[in-house]
Amino acid sequence: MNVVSVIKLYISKMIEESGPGMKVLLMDKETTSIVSMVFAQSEILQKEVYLFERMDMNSREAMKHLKCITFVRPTKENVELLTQELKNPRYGQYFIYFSNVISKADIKTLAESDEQEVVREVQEFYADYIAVSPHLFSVNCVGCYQGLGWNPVHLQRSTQAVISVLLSLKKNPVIRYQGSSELARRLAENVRQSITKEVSLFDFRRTDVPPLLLILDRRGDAVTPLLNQWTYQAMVHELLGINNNRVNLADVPGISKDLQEVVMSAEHDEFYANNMYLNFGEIGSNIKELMEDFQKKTKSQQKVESIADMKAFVENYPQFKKMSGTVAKHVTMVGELSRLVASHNLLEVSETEQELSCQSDHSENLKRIRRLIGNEKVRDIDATRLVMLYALHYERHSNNDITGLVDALKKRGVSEKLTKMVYSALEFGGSKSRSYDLFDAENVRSITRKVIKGLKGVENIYTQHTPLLRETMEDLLRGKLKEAPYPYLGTVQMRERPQDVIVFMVGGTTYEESNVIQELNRTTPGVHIVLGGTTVHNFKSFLEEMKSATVGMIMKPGGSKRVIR
Amino acid sequence: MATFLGSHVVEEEEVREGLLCPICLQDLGTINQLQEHFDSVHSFEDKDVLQSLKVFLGKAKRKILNKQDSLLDGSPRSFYVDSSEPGRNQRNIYSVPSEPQEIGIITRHTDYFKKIRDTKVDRYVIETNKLLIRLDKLITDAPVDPEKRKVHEKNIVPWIADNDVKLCPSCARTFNLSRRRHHCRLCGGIMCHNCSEFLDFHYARKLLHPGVTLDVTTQEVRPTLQRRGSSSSLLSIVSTAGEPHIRVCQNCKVSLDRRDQFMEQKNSKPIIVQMYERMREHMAEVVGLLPLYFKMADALSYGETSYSLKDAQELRMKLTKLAENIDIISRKISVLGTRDEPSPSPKSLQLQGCVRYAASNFLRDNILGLPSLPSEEEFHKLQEEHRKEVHQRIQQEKQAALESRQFSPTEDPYKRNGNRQSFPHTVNQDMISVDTGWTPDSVEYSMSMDDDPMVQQMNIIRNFIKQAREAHRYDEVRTLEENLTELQQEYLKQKNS
Repeated sequence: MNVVSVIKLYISKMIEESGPGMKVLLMDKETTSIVSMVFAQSEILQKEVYLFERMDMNSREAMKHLKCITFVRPTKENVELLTQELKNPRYGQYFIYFSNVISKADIKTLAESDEQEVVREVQEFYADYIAVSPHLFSVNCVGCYQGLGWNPVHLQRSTQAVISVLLSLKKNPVIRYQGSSELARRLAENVRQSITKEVSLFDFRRTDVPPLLLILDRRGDAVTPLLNQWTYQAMVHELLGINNNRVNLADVPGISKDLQEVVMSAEHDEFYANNMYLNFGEIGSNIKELMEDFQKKTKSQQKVESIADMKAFVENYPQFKKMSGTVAKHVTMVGELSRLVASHNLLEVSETEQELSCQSDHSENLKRIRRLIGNEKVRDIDATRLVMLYALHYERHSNNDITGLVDALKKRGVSEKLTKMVYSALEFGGSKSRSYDLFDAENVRSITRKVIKGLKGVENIYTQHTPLLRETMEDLLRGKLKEAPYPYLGTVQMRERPQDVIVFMVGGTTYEESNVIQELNRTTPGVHIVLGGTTVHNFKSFLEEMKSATVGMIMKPGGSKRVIR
Repeated sequence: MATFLGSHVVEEEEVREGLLCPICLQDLGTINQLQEHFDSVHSFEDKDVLQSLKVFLGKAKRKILNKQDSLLDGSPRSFYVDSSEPGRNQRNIYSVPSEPQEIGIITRHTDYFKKIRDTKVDRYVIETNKLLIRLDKLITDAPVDPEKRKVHEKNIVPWIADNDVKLCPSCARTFNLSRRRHHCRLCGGIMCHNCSEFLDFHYARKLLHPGVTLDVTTQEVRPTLQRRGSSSSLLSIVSTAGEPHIRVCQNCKVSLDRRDQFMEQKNSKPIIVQMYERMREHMAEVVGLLPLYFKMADALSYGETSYSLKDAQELRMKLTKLAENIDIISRKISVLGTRDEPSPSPKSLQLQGCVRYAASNFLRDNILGLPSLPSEEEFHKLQEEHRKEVHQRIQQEKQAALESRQFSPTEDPYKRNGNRQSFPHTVNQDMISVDTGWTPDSVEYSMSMDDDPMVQQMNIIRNFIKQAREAHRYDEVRTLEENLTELQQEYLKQKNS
């Protein structure tokens, strides 16, 4: 179960099927992201694809000597655009691939418009999701809640994405979902319906242990996306933002021109692949190593005196150039991260966050938050996230001082838009939306963990928190995930411990959770887990998500709400 | 790769390679036979030595079998996969190894699509074909005299009676003295002069015989072929340039134009495509030769004698030459048409640029990192070292063999060497069974019949070697040369006796 490989396989196959010759790849906005996540441009050029065109960008220049590989989502607009295209074709031959199930009627429309007989293939290749890592996929849509229900557009898109994951991985799963969530249940039902509708597609060879699809709701754990992160990938996403593997560094002071946007792809960058899940501290020493290695090479490159040196230089030059690019990228990246950490006092902020999420010393916590709100170096959003964490943790505490903290934020000059979000967070992830008490459970768990860690030595105060997902998955893999909070859809039951699991998080997942899944995959033999989400969140996008979820409601500290008509 | 399948001395100086049993030095044809032999003959010998050898054997076997598999797959990449291949030396952090991912479900709608398209397309294809048949009849032996020609045309396509059509079907105006009725020569339909189209005979001939290229002058004429303002019906037969042409309606013209475009596309090949195809051919050749070169360079750098240095140098030359060609062609492609007016559109420039970029990437990845060959002296030195090393290894193995012989005095490893001689007769069969399918052309037996068959055989092999070298089949050259030396020795022996 490797979603990156499976999408690469699909795309390679498309390109191969068109045979030799110059090719153009015609895509829509979403399929462009899907392809660019798994292939570097140079890689796809080697497959004779030289031009990339967008379906919705209207350029009508004919190039009949090109073969056109069309890879689009089966939407109404795309079918319409394609019909136009075929009536007046720009290219010599068309190989059409839809990323999901397309109706017979649409095929008929297309066939009737192909009067010049330019179409060679029409197929469905189920690559209808963004493969972020081998075990992580995303649908790339933020704001799937609409007043705590599904936004219908996103519901349909998510269903299609999940169906396409199942088809590409050839799984016909048993479905479970988070019982407390209406959204999880609806998605589960929609997926079940689609499977029944396309039953012939889902006719796979039965395995001893059936695969499992588990659908969860972000509202069950709103704490994880609020925290600052300290592993490389998660940290880059939190502080700088990763968008389709690309990181925008234009705002970094003194950045050179060719580094304004860099690609962070584990598929094409060995250093990143080896370090993406490591802690910031470890990255520091690794990057030093990389630097030294590079300097050694630079030195040997510099002395080009004899013919032999020149020969060696020419032979090593490609690797050298590649390496210099990698070094420059990561040194800049890590440099920028440490600058941000220092200038925004992130170490102290993060320590407090961790304590808020894992310990229950109310007065101590309150004191620290107040101190940090008073600290000028701390960013507004960090101050706000501390208050949010506090609110989520001490929502039911008799002496809680949520209003006081919000007032402190206001006094600090934090915009009202942000301060309001504290109540949105409570509405979104407060105790009544959780089937599971994050903080109580934390106590029990943290005791056991402390005992274990005490034996192992000092624990890292910045990574005390583990997402709820870890516990859910551990229970699931042990066959101990309770049926009441996580019911099965339909009458099927699973007696065995699951081996192939696809987890989908409605409302978005995080890189911290991806990290957990990666770790589980690595340490549990025979188990393959793929994690997906409507998106991969950092704090900023999570704020958006909560905002769209609670739009139109007036929140009060007491928790009573009223919907504005 | 040569760890164990390595070399053994048979006589003092000569180095032998092949699938030899490490204990009795018997040569076994295939890996499986070797393993079998090992299990059956030496199974009772020293357990520890055997165990370690067995593991060794297993490893070597896996390596060889893998190699063969990849050869069969036609994926030579596995030989020289470089560090640019992502995910190679990773510490299992990014990607947890699991069974290789297979491709997901695929649903094919092509047949359904084609079925629907065909029913639609058939209709107008039949229509167009009918028009073409009529056109052919119309322009072959068309009389020059207008009146006779009209009759000729009417004979082929019956004209619709004037009275049946009151209005021009395409512009819906009434006919009168100044707007007279005209007939389409292809379908017999009626339209006014303004709604008529004209086909000149050259265009018509081109439609009928799309493969034949027209001479330049007639191509110049074509653009003038447009609707003329004059209402004289005589002019509808002969154009201003004196070119004969026929009057058709708009519908027929559209059908014919569509066919013309279609055929044009099918037959024409823009210059960029021709250049591109040549470049790809060169690239394919490079990809085909590279694995061999890597193997040769590797072997030579260890001082092995399996390939000759001269052959490798020649191959290197050839690769460099190809690379140069690729570079030149791609550069030409990148500037194609930039001097012309009007200069190519940004899109075509982008395409040309990308082709060039891909080509230079290809060269960088494949040619720039080409391992260098040792010079003549270096090679001699390397050979010397290698020989010593092999010698040493053999001494050790002899020692081991001696020791093991003490356990099994019945076995005499050297006795079995005699089995190796049966080469001259198997040469041809070997050639045919070579995996990538190279065989020398049949050889003319020009030598006199009374020659010694040994000499004949030797000549044949020499011929084979020459051919193999020309075809860059250095593996075959090697085996053939081995055979030749053996033959020569045998021959000398016979002569002396």
